[in-house]
Amino acid sequence: MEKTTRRDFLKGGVATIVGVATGMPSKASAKVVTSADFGREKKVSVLCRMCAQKCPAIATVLDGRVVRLEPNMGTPYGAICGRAIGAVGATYDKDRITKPLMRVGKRGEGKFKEVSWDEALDFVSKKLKILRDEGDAKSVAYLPRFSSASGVDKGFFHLYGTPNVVGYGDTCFGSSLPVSFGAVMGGTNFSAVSGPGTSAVSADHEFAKYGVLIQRNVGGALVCHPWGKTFGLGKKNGMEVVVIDPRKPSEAGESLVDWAPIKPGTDEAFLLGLLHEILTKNYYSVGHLRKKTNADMLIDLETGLPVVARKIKKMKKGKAVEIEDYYIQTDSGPCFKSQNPELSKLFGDYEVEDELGNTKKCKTALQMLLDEVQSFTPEWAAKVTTLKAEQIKKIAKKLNDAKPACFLERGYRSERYANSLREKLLITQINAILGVYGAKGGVISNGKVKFGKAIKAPKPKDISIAKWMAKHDPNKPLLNVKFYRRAWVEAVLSEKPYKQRVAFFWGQNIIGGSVGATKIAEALKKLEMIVCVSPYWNETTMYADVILPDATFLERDECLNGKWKSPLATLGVNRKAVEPLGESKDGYWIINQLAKRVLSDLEYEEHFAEYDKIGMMAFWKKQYDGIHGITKEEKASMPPLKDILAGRVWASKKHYKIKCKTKTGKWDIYPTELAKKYKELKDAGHKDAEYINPLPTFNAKPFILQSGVELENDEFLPITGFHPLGTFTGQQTMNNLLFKDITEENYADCVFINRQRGEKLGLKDGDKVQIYNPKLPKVVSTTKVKLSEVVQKDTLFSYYGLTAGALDRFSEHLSHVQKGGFNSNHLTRFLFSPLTGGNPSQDFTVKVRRV
Amino acid sequence: MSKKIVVYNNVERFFHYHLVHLVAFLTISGLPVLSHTFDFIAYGLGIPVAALTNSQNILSAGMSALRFIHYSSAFLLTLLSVPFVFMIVRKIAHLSMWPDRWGVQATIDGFKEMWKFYIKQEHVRFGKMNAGQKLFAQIVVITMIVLAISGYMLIFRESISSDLATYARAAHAISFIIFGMMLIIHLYLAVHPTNKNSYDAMFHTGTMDEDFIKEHHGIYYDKLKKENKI
Amino acid sequence: MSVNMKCYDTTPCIRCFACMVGCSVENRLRLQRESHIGIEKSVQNRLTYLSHLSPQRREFGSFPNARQVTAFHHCNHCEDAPCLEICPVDAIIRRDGKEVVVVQETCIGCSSCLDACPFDVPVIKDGKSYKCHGCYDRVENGLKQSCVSACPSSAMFSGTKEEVLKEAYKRAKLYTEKTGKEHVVYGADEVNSTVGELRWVTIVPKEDLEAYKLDTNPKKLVMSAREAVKVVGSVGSVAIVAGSIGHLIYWLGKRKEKISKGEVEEK
Repeated sequence: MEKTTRRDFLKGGVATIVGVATGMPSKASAKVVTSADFGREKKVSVLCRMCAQKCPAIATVLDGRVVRLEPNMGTPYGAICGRAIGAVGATYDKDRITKPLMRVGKRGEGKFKEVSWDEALDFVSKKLKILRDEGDAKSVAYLPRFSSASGVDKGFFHLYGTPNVVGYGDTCFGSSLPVSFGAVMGGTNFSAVSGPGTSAVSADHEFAKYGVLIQRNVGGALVCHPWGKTFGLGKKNGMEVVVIDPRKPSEAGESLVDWAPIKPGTDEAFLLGLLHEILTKNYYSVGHLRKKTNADMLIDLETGLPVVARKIKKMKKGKAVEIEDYYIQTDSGPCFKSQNPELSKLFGDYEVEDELGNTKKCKTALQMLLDEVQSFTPEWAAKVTTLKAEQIKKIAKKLNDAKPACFLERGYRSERYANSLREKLLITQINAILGVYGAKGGVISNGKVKFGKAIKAPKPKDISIAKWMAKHDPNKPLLNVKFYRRAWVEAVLSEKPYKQRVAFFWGQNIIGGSVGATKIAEALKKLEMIVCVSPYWNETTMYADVILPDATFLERDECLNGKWKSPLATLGVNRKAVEPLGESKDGYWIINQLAKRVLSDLEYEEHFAEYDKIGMMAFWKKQYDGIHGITKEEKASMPPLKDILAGRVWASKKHYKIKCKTKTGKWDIYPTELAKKYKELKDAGHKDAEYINPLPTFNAKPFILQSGVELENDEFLPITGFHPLGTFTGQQTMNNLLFKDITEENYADCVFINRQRGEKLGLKDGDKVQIYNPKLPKVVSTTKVKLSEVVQKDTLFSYYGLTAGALDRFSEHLSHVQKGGFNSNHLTRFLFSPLTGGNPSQDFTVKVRRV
Repeated sequence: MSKKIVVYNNVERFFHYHLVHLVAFLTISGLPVLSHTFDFIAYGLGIPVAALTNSQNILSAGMSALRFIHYSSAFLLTLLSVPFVFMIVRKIAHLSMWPDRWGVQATIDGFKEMWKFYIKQEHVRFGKMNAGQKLFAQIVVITMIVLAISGYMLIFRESISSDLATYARAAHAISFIIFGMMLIIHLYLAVHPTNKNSYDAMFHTGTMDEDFIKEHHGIYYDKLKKENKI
Repeated sequence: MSVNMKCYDTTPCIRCFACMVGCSVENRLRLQRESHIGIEKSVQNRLTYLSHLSPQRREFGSFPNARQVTAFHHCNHCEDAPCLEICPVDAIIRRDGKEVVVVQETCIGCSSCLDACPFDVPVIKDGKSYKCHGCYDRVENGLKQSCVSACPSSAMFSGTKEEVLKEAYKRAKLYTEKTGKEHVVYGADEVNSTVGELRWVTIVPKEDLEAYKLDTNPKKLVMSAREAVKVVGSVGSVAIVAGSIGHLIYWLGKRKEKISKGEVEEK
């Protein structure tokens, strides 16, 4: 043969011989991890704080680092969402603030220098002491949101002497929601409500047949424990849902989910159309209305109040309770409800003699409701909402077919429009008429464990700003005295009732999270000192004089927690999994340091000395020993404190009940107390009285519908929603690399508008656009636009809190957040919803132009 | 003794000589990726490589070494192709792989001539290359160009879309298989006794006797006469 | 040991992406445990190649009759995994529970698995191939897969093939009854001869298979062509070699004949 191929032959030959001789080696084997590796890990019970719901989780610690979060299955509804799982990205975020900072340069410039804890604490304490000694403790406001010292922080500030512990909830759940729910189901102290808020009720998704998701998309996985879980169980059990939303969200499901693409701000019209169907087609149980509601109450047409009423005592659970008894009509004439509960007339016009002997024209409550909704046909509603009348009718029918195993999701983030109160009121009324409260598959009361107070502070003698405003501010007679951060801003600007000199923010981004962002920033400039406790940069920290970095939830112990949005009363605690990074400190240490410096020796001795000696156990014992609010059996079944601290979560049984605290003892589908307040305001000639008309009217509209003017070609109605991996304006998600691949795939940094409308404007996917409020044109957002088929035509949708927005200077501190983006709050004027001082976060228009 | 005519110049012989080695390396190093049937090649190389590098996995070591050989051979072949292609392009109109007579009938006749020679062992008139050799050359040029382009796409596959890379991979395999089958025939005929003169010309002398050309490559002889090269 | 199967139910899924983030974080845990790269370091990088689950959201229809569907991109752990078949270095193995796993130590990053996979699953990074390995390390130590453990809404569940299919069919039947639209368990039956059955099945309305990118005939056309040509090539090569040998024998014989007949001179 020839020599060229010989070499090859030889090579191949050798290879063959060797290969064949040695045989084919065994297949590759993957490294096997044995349980020995798993056993080295430590498990710690935590309550996630990536949002505010504190879902119970278990953190796995390996070599001093948290390496995994998984749901704590110690309750029947153990679940955590994607944000929780990515918490390690937030705790180990290298842009976290881990050293105390003090301002250099002008306030708002955002220039800081690192200082020691002593220096920072001394600086803050000095000012606090001066003000206290001057007798002006009330000029210090404490504004908590993501507090790492819950159970102790508010008590400290009350001890300090300020009445102004300013809750943040007026921008979310604390304004119209309690008023509306309380109007129908009662609650503590109705007119200045601190009662039924977000944690009052849950829909029983697990056993529901049909659900109307309106105002909030429960699958959006905030409140993963338990709502995300129960919603999943419900879907698995065949629950059908319809989503009333200008943007079709993915979270309620993507196959076979009905969508009602409603025009933003018109939920009230939809609900009126729905109520029309329910009342005209008798989609209710007569027996239920008679037994549980005040449908048969005789209402004086002149006053709008019960024509005849008296107070009687009724036995409730062995206790004598005072209720308001009222006149009903029967075949043999009018009488009190308590005298003849079974045979009342539900409909009709009647004439009745009142206590003074006057003949008054009256109607039953149900008759009044029916008469009022006559004009709000589904066809009328379709025009206002841009929905189809057929769809509204279908929804009403499905509710009827499913009742009482159905619900209108009450949700909680309610502050969107000037008339949010009316929307929530209608939802509550419709749920009540359908009889879903307390029913399996309906809506039931949540349970809660109450504790002994860790700090028992005496009540400060000065009146809080909120209480003063509720009494004296004609625009805010229904102001919530617990949640009032924007009303507080108004007080800073107006200096009424008194000057505000210090703001102590704890985990709160008031600028990024509130309507009127630019005005709020202006107001902050007036203060003498601003302290921000925060591990993360945001718009508000840029205005701080002192930034104190507290530790993230994985790095700290907390007081016991007993409040969840769960039908099961639940008890759990967040334990420290790893040491705080850098020089960050847990919240209780911070409070203790302030207490040492600011309080008198006696005060410190009484309230904090024990913590100083033995740490958290000082608080835990006080809390645990004072547990109340649950039944005796439940208390007996509770594990000892040491087990709770070791990670055991306790949950009660599920009770199908609803707490009804109305004065009448019935579900006030005609809201009697609200009617009283309405009359009061009307008699005084209040311009906003219609916002609490007890009847289902359409005279109190959102700002955007008031002018009646059509939107211009380039004008849209902004709405926001949570991305499943985004949370508030929290930089724990915005800057978190664990979420970026997914949020980018979802175009979460874009605003979404309807494809047709966008194309008419000459826009295409990915175009850079400028967005501004025509009533506040100097603030302009630059962001990208995405054209979408699942967005209603008038709508501009954005994911909340995933981009920096127009006020983006803080993003310079964040490696993974670009400048620009869109936060709708930045574009809003400093307006209030009527009567409640609520937060009209979507109640404005924006204009869009291509860059 | 008649005159010696140069039928393969130095560049052509140099290129072909190294082409043989490089194609051998490329083929052998590529076959295990094409099919598990050829895993023994990777094992053969892998055992010494794994021993030298202290690695656990023989097959991986072997395949990595083969990849190195494949890439190196490809780069060398590219380099060596440059002068060759340059020379070819200059005389592109006169390449012996173009048909001497065009047309469907002429092509059929050309293959009939081959049958006459290789089966019936009769006297025939061939050009410098017969019809089969011309077809082989054309196919080789096309497949080698596809192999080169797809090969480089695969070397740099992170820079292109993965869909495009998968297309390149398939094109690389398919053109290799075509090339490979043709190559077997080419190798057989190259070492066949009847083609000894061609073999000597390509690998040893570069020349052929004028008389031999006149006898066995009549059409080529006529062409040379016409061009006054004889 | 029985087949480990995972199931994704499109109906209760709330698209919260906990499964996807869970996978990414669990792999960082593995990096720390096995490669001693602290998680505080690895979360400073995206490490997309370690996120084996990803969403692919598309819109269908036009407003108002429109919707979006998020396809769930993940390894299917095919019964007849094409990646396993093609891997030239046998770096892809099947665990006892039938999880299809890439062994990184063996892998040489040639991308054959990516070329062969009809679902475009493997990700090649720095000379290695990465894909879902079914959390076999967790499963073989009595834990659930991290995606299953993460899911809050009963959309992901796993177990033996028998357990999972029993539950999956039960759910599909209920959904079919309640909605009037047929729901199927994609992957429970053989999908096609390229992949066989799948060990990650999906409960989905039949009419939505395409929207969820659940291919009823998954194959890489280009790679199938390559396979076909390989067959032709091997048959052809054998035929050509046989033909050549045959020709040589014939030719030698014929030449001998010609020489004996005196038609040619012996050389």
